[in-house]
Amino acid sequence: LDPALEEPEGDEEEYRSIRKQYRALIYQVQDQRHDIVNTANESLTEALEEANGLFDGVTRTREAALDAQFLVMAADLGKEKSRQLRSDVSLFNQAAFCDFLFTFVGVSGLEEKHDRLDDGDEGRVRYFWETLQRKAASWTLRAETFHFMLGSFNSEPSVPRPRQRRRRVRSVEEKSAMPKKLKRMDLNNNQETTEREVERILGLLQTYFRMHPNSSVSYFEFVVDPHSFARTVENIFYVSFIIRDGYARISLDQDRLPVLQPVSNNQMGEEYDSGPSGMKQGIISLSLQDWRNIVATFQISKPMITKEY
Amino acid sequence: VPSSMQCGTRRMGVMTDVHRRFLQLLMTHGVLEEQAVKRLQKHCYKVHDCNATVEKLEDFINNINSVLESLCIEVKKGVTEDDGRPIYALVNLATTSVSKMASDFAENELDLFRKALELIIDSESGFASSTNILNLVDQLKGKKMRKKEAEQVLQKFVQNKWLIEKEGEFTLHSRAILEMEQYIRATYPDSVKMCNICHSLLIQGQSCETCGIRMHLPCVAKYFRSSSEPRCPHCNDCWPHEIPEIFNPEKEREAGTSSSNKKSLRSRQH
Repeated sequence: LDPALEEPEGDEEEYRSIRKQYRALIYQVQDQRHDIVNTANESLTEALEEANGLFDGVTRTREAALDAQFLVMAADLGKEKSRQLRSDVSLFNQAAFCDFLFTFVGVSGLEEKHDRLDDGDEGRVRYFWETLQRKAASWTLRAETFHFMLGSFNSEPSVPRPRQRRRRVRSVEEKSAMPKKLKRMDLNNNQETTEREVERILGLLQTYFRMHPNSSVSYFEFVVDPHSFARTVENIFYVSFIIRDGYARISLDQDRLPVLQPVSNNQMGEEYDSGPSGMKQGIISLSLQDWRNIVATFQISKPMITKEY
Repeated sequence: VPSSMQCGTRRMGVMTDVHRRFLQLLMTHGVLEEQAVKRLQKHCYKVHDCNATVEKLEDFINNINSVLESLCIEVKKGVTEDDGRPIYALVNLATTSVSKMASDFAENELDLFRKALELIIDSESGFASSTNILNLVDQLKGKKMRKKEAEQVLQKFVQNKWLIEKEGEFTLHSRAILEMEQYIRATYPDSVKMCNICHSLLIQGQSCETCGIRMHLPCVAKYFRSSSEPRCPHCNDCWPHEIPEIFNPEKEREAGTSSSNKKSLRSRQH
């Protein structure tokens, strides 16, 4: 037998002690498995370093096998830890980052959402961004590139457009039926438009009642616009609010035609208190032909409810 | 820029870090008013070479331009059309295959700009309404653009100082005029308007109602400076418009602390 292959003789006590320590280390790491994987501490590294130290005294395969067993376990734990790490990195917590930024700059109280910044806040906001810029700028070494417009596109031969000769240039305002700038308002504020229109029409109605006290106005004459069916329908819609809210009363006169009557102040309270029994509903149906017939029958030439614009 | 680049017969100047820093800062802003440019130059000297005497701005810029010549880029000096402020802008001079690729904007965005440009040139006032521009969005080349997107692209042009917006109407920023004057004169020779006084491109200005000649607002101010009865230089009819007030650097300096407020107001117009 080759003397080099023979296992060296050594201190049996020492070997037993090494094996004992390895086993202790393995049990310890297994025990603390959950903590090692889930907390960001150095315990796995420390365990590895301890095993490293133990390995210095290892000369035989028996102890080396224990070391290998420990290494496999440590490698598994390391893999699990790194898997944890990856999932944290892919999730960017915006709110937490914002908090970090606020603490970094040293500004507090900007977290409350303001729909509109008032003047006092604007200084703090500017200070926030300026401080941040000073720090952040040192990390971005990229210089601004050259921005240009000429040369971005080919020049195309201009299409001979029908142009008016520039003779006498009178200061003629272009009769632009289109608005110059698209106003965003009109699309979103249907509710406001309704309220505004109802108020406006109520005003018109009340003016009429003031000018003709103790009389009522024919419903059709009031709501019908002889030039526009759509407008007539809108007027009916708005007047229905006026009636619902008790500012005017609709009833049938001696000819059984609907009329609008003013409601006096004390009467208004009464109507409101009359409760569910007092509530009546009516449905008006009006077709294009009906509208035309009404215009012809009542000989309505001008709308009572004038357009705002 | 390596100093070994060939550039033809003109003797090329030498750029130091002072010039390079200045150039990079001007590149970042795109266009700057003269006061700001002077401050910038002083700042660059302070950072890199605080003991040197500050070179005269004109020579400083000519030096830089001589180096940039081989790249077909130039620092051009101009004047704003509305109030006659002197400005400096870094502009591109040539259309090449590289310049077509290096644009900030997509094909449909550039076509939108071109359409807006045409409307502005054709208009009487030098302004094109946003509704008129947006109505052309369906005819754009490239990827289909929604009207809402087009509004944002127009705002991008305003932010990058290619267009100016006033009450829903758009006109060219002085930066765009400086860069694109030659292009505009070459591409739209029939519709382009010229100033009777300085003979350069006119977008905004005043015109004579009798003979139709036009003048820039600062040109009007300069021409009629000391006349009590302004008359058209071409047909001698009474000049019908109010003579505008234009930028006076002396007055700005006198105003002292309040000038910074005025400046921020004006720069918003630009």
